[in-house]
Amino acid sequence: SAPGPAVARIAMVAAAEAAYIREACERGVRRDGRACAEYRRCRFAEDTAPNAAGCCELHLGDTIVAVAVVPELSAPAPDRPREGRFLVHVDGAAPGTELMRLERALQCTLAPGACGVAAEQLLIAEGAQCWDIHLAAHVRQADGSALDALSTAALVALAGASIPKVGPGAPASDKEPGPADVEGDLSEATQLRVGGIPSVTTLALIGGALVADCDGAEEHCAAATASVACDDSGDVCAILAVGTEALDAETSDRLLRAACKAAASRRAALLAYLQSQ
Amino acid sequence: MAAVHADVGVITAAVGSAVIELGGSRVLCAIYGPNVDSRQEFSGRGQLQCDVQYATFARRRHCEPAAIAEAQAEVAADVLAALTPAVRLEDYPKTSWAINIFVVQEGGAVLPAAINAASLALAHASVHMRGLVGASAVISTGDDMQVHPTEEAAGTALATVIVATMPALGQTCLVRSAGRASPVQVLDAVAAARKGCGDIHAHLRKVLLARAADGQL
Repeated sequence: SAPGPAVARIAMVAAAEAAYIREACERGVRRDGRACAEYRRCRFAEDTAPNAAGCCELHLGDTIVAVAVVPELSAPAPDRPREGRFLVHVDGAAPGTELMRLERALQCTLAPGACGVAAEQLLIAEGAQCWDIHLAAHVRQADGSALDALSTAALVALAGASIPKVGPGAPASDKEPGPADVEGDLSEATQLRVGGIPSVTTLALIGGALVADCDGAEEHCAAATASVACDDSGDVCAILAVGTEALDAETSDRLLRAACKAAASRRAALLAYLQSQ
Repeated sequence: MAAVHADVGVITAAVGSAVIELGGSRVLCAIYGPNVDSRQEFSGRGQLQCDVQYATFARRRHCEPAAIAEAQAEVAADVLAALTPAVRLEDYPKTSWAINIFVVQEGGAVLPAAINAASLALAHASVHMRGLVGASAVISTGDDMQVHPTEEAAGTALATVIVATMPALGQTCLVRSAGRASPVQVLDAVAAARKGCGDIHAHLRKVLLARAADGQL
């Protein structure tokens, strides 16, 4: 069905409702009947943007995001001549500051040095040409866990993306300075190895309980959240733990350990899904 | 460990100000407020606003304006995230405090220097706070860890962990990690960074007490 207009679901949570959510989470009960560590139903659709090299639309409960992969020829960064880049652009139905936060967080997980061999696969000619992979992300409906959803959709889109298989052509002559041509049949494509590209999992501390996959109202009530990006090998590529309240060292360590464990477990489930495709 | 230098009251026009030199990074911070904006919707809690600017000569190599703007926005967001739990915003309804940070020189990790400067400047401005925030960075090179790294050391790091805490209360405000490391290495780095925060906090406290003894606070 054709996508409707973007809808922002802004959580308006009254003080009494927030107190109810915190006390319920402390007792292991959530408004929709899930357990604290349980995720909402997740559904993927992978052919939603035929013009893109790869795409994925993900429905995580009432959060709907879409990511399209667009490769573009470019030159490597001077300090990383053997790698291409992943560039993230996020727009959609959320306040501008929230979209910028999502874009920065996602870009941080795809920064140079964090992507493993995937960035090296984008090289065409060392120091001269590479692929820049633009990830155009759209948040159609935000009801909590938007970062997790975007990260997962980006990984699935990259796994299914077809990058043209080209090699460096004849170098530019002295009379015609400029980038070298590429040569190759653009209909031949290569798949990215995405094992080293991290995916993000967020845990929140609500009423003393550690809660996974918060909806919009639960996110509003969280005292702190920890977002962990990890890859197939279990290595942690990025962590961001912030909150409206400061945490004592023991609680902070408990949150970080649980978030790392949840990230590894969720990554294993995602890997199983990708291998089944 | 890199040298640490700090001072307050460096900008007389501001309500509070501080300068920090940490690991080769030099950061100035000025606090203005409390500001009242009649267009703002009523809120029982005050707000913090942070603006970060890099000097054109702050980095060794020339950077595109877009990259600088991105770095500025990222540091500003993280400074706010680190200080929001520490400031008693409920004491300032319908007002806001402006934190203006100027990065004179970038060396090693800028974010801990910015957080420390902002925390010291807020204390100099006598803004109600739960505790003084100390921030430190730890780099992991695989076998070794280094607290408050210099710029040269930071360039060889596999992973960088930045932690902001209120050491007097034993509470953590922010944990940020970038780069690849095992979960055990990251948690060890967080513990080492917490200890580094305690060292920084002692230094900042000494600066404030010296100024108070001189009657300049």
